[in-house]
Amino acid sequence: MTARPRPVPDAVSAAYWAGADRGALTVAHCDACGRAHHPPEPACPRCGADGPRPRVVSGRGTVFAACVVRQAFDAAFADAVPYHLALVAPDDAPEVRILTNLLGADPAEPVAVGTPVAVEFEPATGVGARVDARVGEGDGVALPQFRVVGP
Amino acid sequence: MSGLTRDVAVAGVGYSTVARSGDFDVRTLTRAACTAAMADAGVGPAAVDGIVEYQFGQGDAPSAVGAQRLLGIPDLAMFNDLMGTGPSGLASALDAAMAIAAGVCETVLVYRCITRASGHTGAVRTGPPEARGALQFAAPYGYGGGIIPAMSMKKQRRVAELGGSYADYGRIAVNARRWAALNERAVLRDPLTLDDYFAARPVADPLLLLDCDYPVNGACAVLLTSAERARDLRQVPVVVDALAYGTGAGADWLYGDDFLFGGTIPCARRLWAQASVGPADVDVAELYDGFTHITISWIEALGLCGIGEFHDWVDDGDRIGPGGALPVNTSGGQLAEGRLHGLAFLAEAVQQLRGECGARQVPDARVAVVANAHGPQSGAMVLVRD
Ligand SMILES: [Zn+2]
Repeated sequence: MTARPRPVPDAVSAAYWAGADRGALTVAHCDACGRAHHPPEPACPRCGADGPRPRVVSGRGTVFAACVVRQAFDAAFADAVPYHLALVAPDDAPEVRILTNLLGADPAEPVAVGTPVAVEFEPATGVGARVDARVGEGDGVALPQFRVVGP
Repeated sequence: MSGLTRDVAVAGVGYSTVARSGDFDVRTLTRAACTAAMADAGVGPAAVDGIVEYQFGQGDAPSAVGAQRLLGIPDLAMFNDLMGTGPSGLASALDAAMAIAAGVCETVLVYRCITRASGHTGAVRTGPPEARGALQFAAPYGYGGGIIPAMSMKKQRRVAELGGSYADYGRIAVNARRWAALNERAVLRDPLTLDDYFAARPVADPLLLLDCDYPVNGACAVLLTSAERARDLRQVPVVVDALAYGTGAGADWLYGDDFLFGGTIPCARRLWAQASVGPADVDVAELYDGFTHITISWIEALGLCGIGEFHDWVDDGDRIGPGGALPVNTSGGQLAEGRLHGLAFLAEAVQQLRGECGARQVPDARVAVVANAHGPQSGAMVLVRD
């Protein structure tokens, strides 16, 4: 099996991945305009202010939009189809969307918009294929993933 | 008088052969389309003083100066190679119109050449094992295939947020084949029913195979010049009445503020503010259909119907089909004519306004609107028969 791509933190994203490794989900927050964004950028994409800072959010949210990938586009995921891809809006930063797989849902159909989800962290192996390793002890990067927690 | 500082017109259009398979030399395709556009306008290489082209940068098209050599054009007063983050092939014509209006050059050839190999974004790729930059937030989750998953999620979200049904998307796919049956250049000419649409393979559920355009090998070229000069050339000039771009706040396919419409709404607002005509005057609309969601977005963003009203407005497809009150994508679009990546929507609009479309001609078409791409790459143009 082709190895699944692992995220490589950079200067802008390091705090996000470090947070995930501690089990904390963060969004980038702009003190100047009060809005959050994701993925983290060097400046606020809504007002241009310098220095957005990571803000820890609860990790609970709802499905903003979702689909079920049935045709692999990356050879590393050829054995994973069908799998869920979704954008999640955190309850405490609803202007933000976070791309994720959805765990605990039947891939027969997409998860409905508005479905409650909660974050968990898995070693960076992708699509719910959890390996028997503790977060932070895998390849060094924990991947935030959302699990369906309600109808 | 158009919204530009100097009136610009389309004086010629041309196509290469358009094929579903085969190994084509992009120089041959480009030369064929450009030569056809110049012949259509009745100009030779010495009359051309600008070239703009749009490509992915994957060997899918010759550069502007490459085309200059292919065509024997003596010198270029303006040229530009636009890469794949703009309003698709229409970007080349938008750029050309602005350069002509500014007086930098007089006669500009624009083209989009594309091959199946470069245009086939659904292909399986082996990405790098280390995901850097923007990929670090996408590739580890199995996000691939260009914007395919984004378009699927927009389809799901639209129906959840605005109502209507997935059958609305099917109306666009069925419509493409109805028009393509009347277009000899189209590669997919067999009729399609709504049942056929729903029976298509899901690529990324709810996105079906027939929501996606069809990759081809081919090129399309358009010759633009000042309206003044166009009046001395071979064809009835088709005047660029207005042009506009839009990106929307946050400008991103996944993370932009307006997830459903991207930059189409601000683009349409600028377009109509500049135009001498309005949405009610449109006789024919050629609206990007790389994915069916995009066409529906443009119909609503342009005010051809209200936001969220497509489902009722489309009248089971009758409104946009042959003989309908507002013909849309009269060539079959990229869903059926083939994915020439944007510029062919402009060429079709021009031919409709010149009354050259034979069996698929929209009677007495005088005003056309053309739109390309979506999300942070939106662009559009209004054209009026001189
Ligand atoms: Zn800000």
